[in-house]
Amino acid sequence: MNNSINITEIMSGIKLAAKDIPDFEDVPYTRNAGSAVPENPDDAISEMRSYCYIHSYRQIHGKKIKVFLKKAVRKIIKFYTEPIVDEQNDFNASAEAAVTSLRNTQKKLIKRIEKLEAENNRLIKDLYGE
Amino acid sequence: MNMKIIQLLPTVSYGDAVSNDALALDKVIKSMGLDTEIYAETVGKNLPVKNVRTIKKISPDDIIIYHMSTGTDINFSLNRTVCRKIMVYHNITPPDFFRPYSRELFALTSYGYMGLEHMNRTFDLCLADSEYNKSQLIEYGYRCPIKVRPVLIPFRDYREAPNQYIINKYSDGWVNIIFVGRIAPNKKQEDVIKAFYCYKKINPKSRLILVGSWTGTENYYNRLKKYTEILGLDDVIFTGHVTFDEILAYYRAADIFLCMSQHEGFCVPLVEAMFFGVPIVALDAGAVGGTLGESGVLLPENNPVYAAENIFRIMNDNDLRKDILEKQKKRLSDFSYRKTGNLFRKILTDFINGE
Repeated sequence: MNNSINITEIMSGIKLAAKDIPDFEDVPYTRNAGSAVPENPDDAISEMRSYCYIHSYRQIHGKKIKVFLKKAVRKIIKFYTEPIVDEQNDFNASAEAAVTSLRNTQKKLIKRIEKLEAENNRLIKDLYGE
Repeated sequence: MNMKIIQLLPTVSYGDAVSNDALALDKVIKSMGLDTEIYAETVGKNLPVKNVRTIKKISPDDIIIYHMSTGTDINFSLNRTVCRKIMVYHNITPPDFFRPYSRELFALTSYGYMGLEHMNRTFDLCLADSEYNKSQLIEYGYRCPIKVRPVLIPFRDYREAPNQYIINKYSDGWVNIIFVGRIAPNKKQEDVIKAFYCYKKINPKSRLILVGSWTGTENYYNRLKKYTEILGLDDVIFTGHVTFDEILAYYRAADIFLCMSQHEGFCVPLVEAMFFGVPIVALDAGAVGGTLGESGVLLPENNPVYAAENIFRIMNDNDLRKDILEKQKKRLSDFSYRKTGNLFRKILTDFINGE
């Protein structure tokens, strides 16, 4: 190996640099229709809520000519895409409200069933003396 | 006896490792003077493969060679066929890797594992790409004979002309670190990026080229892109889907092959890197250690600093580089077309003769 290279010094440099590497786990997920659904229904609803509002606007990067062309296309199709997006947003908001309401009702019913089951068990015990 | 060998797989597409293996086996079987065809549910353009629906009749004398790598309805219907059957097991990516990224791939791979378990009494013989795959078959209750047979790689194709534009573009004196494989969460490209981040600190004149398509894993790809932005890395190149001459060019331009994959059933790109004389630094996970054998640099733990240190050593120590390349060349001979072809030929002959 080239003797002029001090490997120990270099390694301590890398170790120092590695200490503050941002973790990949901290990078937010982007989800779309192809993503997997969280197993917990409350998580699914909270995710549904966070992605409920959509918009057709996209930031455009790249070479000037490409940006110009894409912006032109965006303007041309705006009359077509925006009403669809608005309708979709209305639907998403209603769907989210409906699912949340169903989930809340389900939670209340689960609690009620548990309470009635406990009551039922107590009555059976009283009746048969077990 | 009018025996026919039927190779069966869900999809045959250009450039896919499983498809390449089936196509290479087809040539070997034909060289044995046997009647053979490949059938698939989905067939790419201009490939010598028939649609599975065109199979007319399977007689008890026939032999089915089934390539297992994903979830498909075939997995649940094979046990109804009357002939003898061989499974070539290429492994299935564990579904949990896909859970946060793709509902389809999660469902497909889960269905694959259900099929794998369902078929554990279906086959008369299993061929595993690696010892790792063999151990998984045993875990899933396979009690038939299981033989380890490396993937058949037609190296002759790699001698075709590479894409000169790419070679010229990346032959600028910078260190080119590459990883070849689809952008997929099990391949842990984020760990490759992390190791590159560390290496870049000591050698700013370096770039990372991630060669592979992200079709179906766009969510993972988007996260990786964001991660490179957070790390402030401008020199991470995602090539997307590339043509064969472009893959050849990326290997030719590469100085290091870095693999941090956590799940591989064999990992053909490792053998390709050996062929192109690119030193390999790889995490010891899945079948990677088995494929590398004594060659390359095997990382015992997922540590970006350690990976970067090894890249640095290889790039600055000619003797070490030479030693690694010699060992890789030696290991490559174990995967030679003739050797793996003959191994398959012997296995198939013994199977036909009932041995």
